Amino acid sequence: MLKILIKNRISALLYSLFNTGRRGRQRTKLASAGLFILLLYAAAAFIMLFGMIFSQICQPFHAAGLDWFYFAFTAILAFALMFIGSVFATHSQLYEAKDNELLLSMPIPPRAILLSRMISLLLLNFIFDLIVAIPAGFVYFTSLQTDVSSLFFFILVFLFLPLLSLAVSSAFAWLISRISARIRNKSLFVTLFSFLFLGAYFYFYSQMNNYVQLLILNSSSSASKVRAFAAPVYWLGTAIADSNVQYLLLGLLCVIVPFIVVFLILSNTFIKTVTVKHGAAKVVYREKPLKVSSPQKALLQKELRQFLSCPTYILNASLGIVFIFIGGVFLLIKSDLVLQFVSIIPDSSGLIPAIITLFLCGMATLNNITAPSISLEGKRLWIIKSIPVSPLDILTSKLKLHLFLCIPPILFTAVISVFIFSSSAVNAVCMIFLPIMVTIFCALLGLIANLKFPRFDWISETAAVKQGASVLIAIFGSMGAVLLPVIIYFFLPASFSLDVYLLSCLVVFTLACALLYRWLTVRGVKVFESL
Amino acid sequence: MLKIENLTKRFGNNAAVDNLSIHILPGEIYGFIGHNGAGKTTTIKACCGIMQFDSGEIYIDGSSIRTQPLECKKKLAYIPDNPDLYEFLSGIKYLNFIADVYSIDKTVREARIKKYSDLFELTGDLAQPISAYSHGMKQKLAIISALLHEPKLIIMDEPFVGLDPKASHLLKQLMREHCDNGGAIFFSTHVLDVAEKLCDKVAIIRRGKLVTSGTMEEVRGNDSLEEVFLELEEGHA
Repeated sequence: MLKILIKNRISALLYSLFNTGRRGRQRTKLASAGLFILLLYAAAAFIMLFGMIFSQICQPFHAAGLDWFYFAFTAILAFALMFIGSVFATHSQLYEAKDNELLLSMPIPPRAILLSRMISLLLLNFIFDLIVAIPAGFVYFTSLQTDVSSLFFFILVFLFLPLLSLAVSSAFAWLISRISARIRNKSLFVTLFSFLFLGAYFYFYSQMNNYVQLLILNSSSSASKVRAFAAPVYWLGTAIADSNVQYLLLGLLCVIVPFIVVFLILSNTFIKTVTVKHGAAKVVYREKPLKVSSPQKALLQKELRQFLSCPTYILNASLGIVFIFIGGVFLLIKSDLVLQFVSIIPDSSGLIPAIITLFLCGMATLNNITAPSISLEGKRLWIIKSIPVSPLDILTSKLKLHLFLCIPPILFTAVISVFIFSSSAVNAVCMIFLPIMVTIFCALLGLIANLKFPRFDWISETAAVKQGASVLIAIFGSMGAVLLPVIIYFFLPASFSLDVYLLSCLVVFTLACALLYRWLTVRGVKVFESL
Repeated sequence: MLKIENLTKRFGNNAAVDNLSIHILPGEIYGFIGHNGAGKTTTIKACCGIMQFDSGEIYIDGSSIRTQPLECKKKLAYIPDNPDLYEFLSGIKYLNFIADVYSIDKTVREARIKKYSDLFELTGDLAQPISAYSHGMKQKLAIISALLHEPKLIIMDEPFVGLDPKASHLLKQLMREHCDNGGAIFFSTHVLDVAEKLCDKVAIIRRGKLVTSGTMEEVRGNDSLEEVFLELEEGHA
């Protein structure tokens, strides 16, 4: 039974990767290869990042006789990445999957359903684990003389470590599920919680270099603290560094036992947790005058409600909005500090507007609200296809949502920047209009990518928001479109005016948007009609 | 009211609907019967402008669904076999959304929402999110939303699935009233007893091709509709 369920989960995963979601149409070999390269690129980028960190700490730690701490640090980092990378997927896969009830109605033990899902999540954790373990192992075992048993113990530890991460993220997901079942505005709770979580994550990430330096400087005291307060981490680190069998067994016990305990608790509460009726007491309808809107406004309101109802959508598609807004607030509050910093930079008057523009454009590419917007119609596509509204109005409503949500924070931060840095008219135009044009470009690119690569066969909205090819195309396509002019600039003669260059970029993006919009109105409408 | 002329729809090499022609007049309740996978839903979706077709033509009250889709959609309402609605909206917000896209006057929409939600005993639940609705409640909401703009033609795919006996009875009454007032209904069903009692005309489809059609009396003769259907199925097996 378990085998069948696991096979089913893996089939679903492969189907989501290699199927377009349109009436079972297979993704072309070229598209599959492209997707594979994109995933590989993302993994390689992370491996490089961690490789740099490990290269910095490997020799100092070894010289200080703290090899065990090197592996303990690797384990902590791998655990953190696994937890952060999989906690939301764990929540949606374990407790929000729409086939839970169907599977529970079959003669399948709930324990088997849970275990099959946990094993597929374990694979996800293992991928994150490898992203940290590969560079750590490569740096250590290629730069230092070690014995084979140490490498063998290293492999064993990082093979079992995902069990601990899965245990913690499953318990965390269970907690989120229990709390959200008791509150009315679940999506608001999950969104706020997730933003706080991500805020902490990004803060930590931004301070990573400082932490690494601090870690090197205070390696002995940090190591003694880990040894005192996190004995299992010490055991795991020492097991690898000294090929210590006793510590290996102790460390692995600390990894395996929590998994078994969490699995037993969850399997005993699985039915109750997944079948609990979400939301609080029933709200009785009381008649009141209805608000009348135009069809276009009604469609936009519908898009907005859909966006706000799905925390995964908010978190994955609008991070740029948050960063841009935070940037604006920071400029407003800390303008003195920023101006003081800017005054140190030589020839900053020309450079600062370009940096601000680049920041706003870069952050704008993190917003991909339109990219899953057609896929999210899912089985409800019949509604917008049967109403007497033109396909262009329907597509425009999705574009409008992207622009209405993304442009105000850009305007806020850009206008503040213009005033703080007393920018010239040309700089002001670039700072305000270039990020807006990039936003329009991202919205159009995402929508067109989703028209070409929709997937309506999702069980959980997470699949539409995170796993669609259109989302990948929108993210990497828009990032590439912003990075390309930056790269080109470095090949231009130093005498080339930055103002002229930024204005040229504005013209190019305006033309690109015009072309994409033209495609949407002519071909896009036809593609939508054929969905 | 609905004229399907030589409709053909292919999925790859397989013709889901093959040269189908049906003509439905105002005042008629027209039943559409066939085995699973016969092409009923494909035909219905093509009539509603949800699915494009390869050849043939479909006219709604004289307008072509191919060339004047918006005109056609204003005149018709579609109720799907599975009421997948916007679960992130409450019942009332969904109905108001539908009223907005059909540009229904404020007082008219309020009156119609009250009338139909009272009839289907759904008024008390309209503030609830659709995600909290049962299948039957979603089906009722889909029916109410279809009636809001008083369409000339209602196209329904298995409309009685999931409805309780009272709602089912009410729907049959509303269907009759709608047609008595000059409207037309085209619906698919597997419940042959209902089709026999309710329909003025019926068409039986098999593997995308029309097997027989006409008034109920013409199609069934002295037999029951069930007997005729089974005989036709066996005859073509």
